[in-house]
Amino acid sequence: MILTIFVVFFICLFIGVPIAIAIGSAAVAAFYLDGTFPLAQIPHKMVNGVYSFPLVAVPLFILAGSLAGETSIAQRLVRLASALVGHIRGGLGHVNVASSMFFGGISGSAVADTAAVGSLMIPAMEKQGYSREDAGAITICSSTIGILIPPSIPMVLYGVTVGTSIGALFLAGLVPGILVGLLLMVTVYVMAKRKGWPQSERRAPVGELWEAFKGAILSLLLPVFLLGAIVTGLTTATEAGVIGVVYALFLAGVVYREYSFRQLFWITVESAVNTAVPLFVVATTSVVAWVVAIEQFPAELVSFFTELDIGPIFVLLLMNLFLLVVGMFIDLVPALILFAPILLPVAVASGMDPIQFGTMMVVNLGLGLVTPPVGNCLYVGAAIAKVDLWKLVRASVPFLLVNVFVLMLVTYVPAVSTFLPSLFF
Amino acid sequence: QDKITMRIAHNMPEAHSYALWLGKFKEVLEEKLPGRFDVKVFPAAQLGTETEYLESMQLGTLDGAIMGRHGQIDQRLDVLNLPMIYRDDAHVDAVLHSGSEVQERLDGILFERGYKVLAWGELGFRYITTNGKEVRNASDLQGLDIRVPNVQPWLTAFKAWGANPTPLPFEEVYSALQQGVVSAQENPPENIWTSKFYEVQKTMSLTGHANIPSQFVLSRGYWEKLPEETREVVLDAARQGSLIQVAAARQANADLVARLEAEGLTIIRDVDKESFRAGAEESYKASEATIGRDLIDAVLQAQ
Amino acid sequence: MRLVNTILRAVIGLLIATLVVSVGMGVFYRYVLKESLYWATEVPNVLLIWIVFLGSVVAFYEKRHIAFSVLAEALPAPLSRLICIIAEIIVLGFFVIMLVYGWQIVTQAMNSLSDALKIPRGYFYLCLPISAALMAACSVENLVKLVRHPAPGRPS
Ligand code: NA
Ligand code: NA
Repeated sequence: MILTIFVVFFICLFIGVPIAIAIGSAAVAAFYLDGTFPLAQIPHKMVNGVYSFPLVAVPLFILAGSLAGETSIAQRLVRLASALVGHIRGGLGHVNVASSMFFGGISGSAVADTAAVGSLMIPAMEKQGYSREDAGAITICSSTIGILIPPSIPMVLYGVTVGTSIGALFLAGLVPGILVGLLLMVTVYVMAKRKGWPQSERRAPVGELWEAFKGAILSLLLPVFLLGAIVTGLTTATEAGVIGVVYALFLAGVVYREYSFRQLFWITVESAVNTAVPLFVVATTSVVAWVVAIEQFPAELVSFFTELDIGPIFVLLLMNLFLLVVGMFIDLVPALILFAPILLPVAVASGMDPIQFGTMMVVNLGLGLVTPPVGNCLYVGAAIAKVDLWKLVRASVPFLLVNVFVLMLVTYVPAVSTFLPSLFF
Repeated sequence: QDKITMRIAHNMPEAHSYALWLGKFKEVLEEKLPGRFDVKVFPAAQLGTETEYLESMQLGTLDGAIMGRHGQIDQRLDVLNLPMIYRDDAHVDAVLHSGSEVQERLDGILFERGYKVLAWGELGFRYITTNGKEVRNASDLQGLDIRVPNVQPWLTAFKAWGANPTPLPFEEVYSALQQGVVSAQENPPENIWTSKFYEVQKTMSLTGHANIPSQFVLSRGYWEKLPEETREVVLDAARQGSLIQVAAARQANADLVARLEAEGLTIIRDVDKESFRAGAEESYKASEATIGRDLIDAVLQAQ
Repeated sequence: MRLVNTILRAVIGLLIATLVVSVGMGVFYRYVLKESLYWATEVPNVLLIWIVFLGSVVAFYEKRHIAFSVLAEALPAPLSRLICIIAEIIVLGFFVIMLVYGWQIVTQAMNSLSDALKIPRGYFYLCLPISAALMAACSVENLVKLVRHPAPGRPS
């Protein structure tokens, strides 16, 4: 059945059937040809695949993120970032990266980060003499920080799929997220020297820095509250999502007074649609996950790799290469939930912990967001920067190498991801 | 002859005593009907939740399961979960392992609902742990914030005993105890051990105020399609397995009381069990309309 | 379908608002009133499945489900159109099958009671055939446009 599913899925995918429906159609074909199970299992599993309290966190984080992101909060974060790092060589490049790190604490989605930070930063960078493709490349490559720094929608989905603690996963992503940010800034610095990117004329005086800090602090407290509530065990990740929504509403409605009721409703509806898109994929993918379980496929895969006897280092490398290729063609969410349950037993057999493996998958498939031919951040970034896709891809290469380096660190140095969670869980 | 595939799911970890049950089940089947059955076990909720198992068995995508859902299948089965309904192990045996009249009634209710019970198992009697309060009789529960599962008769009984029962999902119990959201909980020793509740609790009272049995069922459709000559063997294999599971669970729980004591829990052994009777009776009264008084009495009086 | 879409948008917006309130009430009861709400997980779960399946209809109508369109766009016009028609037929077939079997689940689950509210779970499953029917209708509309329209590519 599994072979049928993958063959039919890829055929449907390549002729342009939406991914969720391609997965569902593949399941229908496999059930029909196999004949063991009634087709009614497909809708049954689809509904039960999303009937889950931890998944309720997804719309809540999306809503909190867009309530925060639609307001001047993004601008406030950019202002703080530029007061902090604008004076370093390649100033706006650093501001772009730092903004994504701050924004990552509010939003759980990389595409939202590309859109929010990109639409503010790319025009500004262009004005200062950056080429549009360089500005776009820095934007998209740093936007993947958003799914590593908590909260993170992919981490929620992984946690639900394999049944591990979402709080622990959130903490696991923090260090790699900060690492990607810092290393990107190093890269920006080196490139700035070579390409002669400018910096702002002066270091922001303490007064200005303080003003920027005051403007952003209320927004920056959001991730602190969220993480604090989850890590101390005060609330579940889902309940923390409500705290996030209430806080974002409070900021936008009471403190900054930026929304009309109409806008608020529009944001709510958009959050519902933005929830439905990934979770509809989760629904059809859970049918495949059920088939994978009932055919006891992961066990076969583990014994295949055991017999191959190439040692854990190569197994992990192979797995990463495979996921990189997958990520080029399949979007992050379907790839993550499709392959996490299949590959996790192999990773565990190679001595990896489920938390570390989840972090590795998110870093790896996050790269897929900025690689062609299928990459949501790439397309959104290219649209905002108004630049040819391939030029943007070429300009992204040095920054992508940073992501690959962090991927290797996460893969082979467990402490990078597991140290922080081990303190709390 | 074709091999008969049998897919069995449960949501306990792979190493749980259910594995002994299913291991013996497979062994006896293989011994008496060599090569006839291919039993596939899906532990650790691989195939979903217990609610899904029930529906999947009706759909025909799952053949059987070991599970602890009762009132959800038929409200009369809530009788199995009533507080203080079982006096001791021998009484549990009389109700569920003796082929008694009351066992036939319970099995009959499940059969009406589309599930053939092969055998019953258990997780063990439940004990109350607290963050210091020593519970020797029902009145010691006065004002205690205690986590209980979301089972209506338990909520009623714990209220009658004077406690503030708070139903939280099992996964949140540890942190709720740590944070002081609740100061007590109740579970069989195995759960207290594996979920490390002893780290955040100080005492354990051997109240034995409830015992949730689990049942190994096949879907009725699957059962009725099994060849005549195999049915008795399947039943016998499941029963032999259940004896091992029940004995293992009881032994493990007894051993765990000592290990929990070694981990620092003060064990309260001199519990006045009869003091819990009156509060439990209130929950029986509240459940009479759905369960039926005669079924409650039949279970209480099983010998 | 446009009217349906507008109505659905309003419905899912309200469902999300209800979801926030219901999860919020669970938190409030537990931490402020020190009591617990017996439906505190079931209601959000049910709201979520309805949001997902009704929201999918909106996403489908607005062509927001993630798809891999690079190949279809790169092919010459007549071939591209043919591929789009085939893809749309697959989509339609899937939704028709989901409608039929989803309905079967609804009727079968009418005697399966939910954990907390003790209402038939068949009502929970109703979101699936409803959304499948609406997406199938939408897909028929797409198909008609594709066949009639001489221009290549998916109409947008
Ligand atoms: Na984030
Ligand atoms: Na950025």
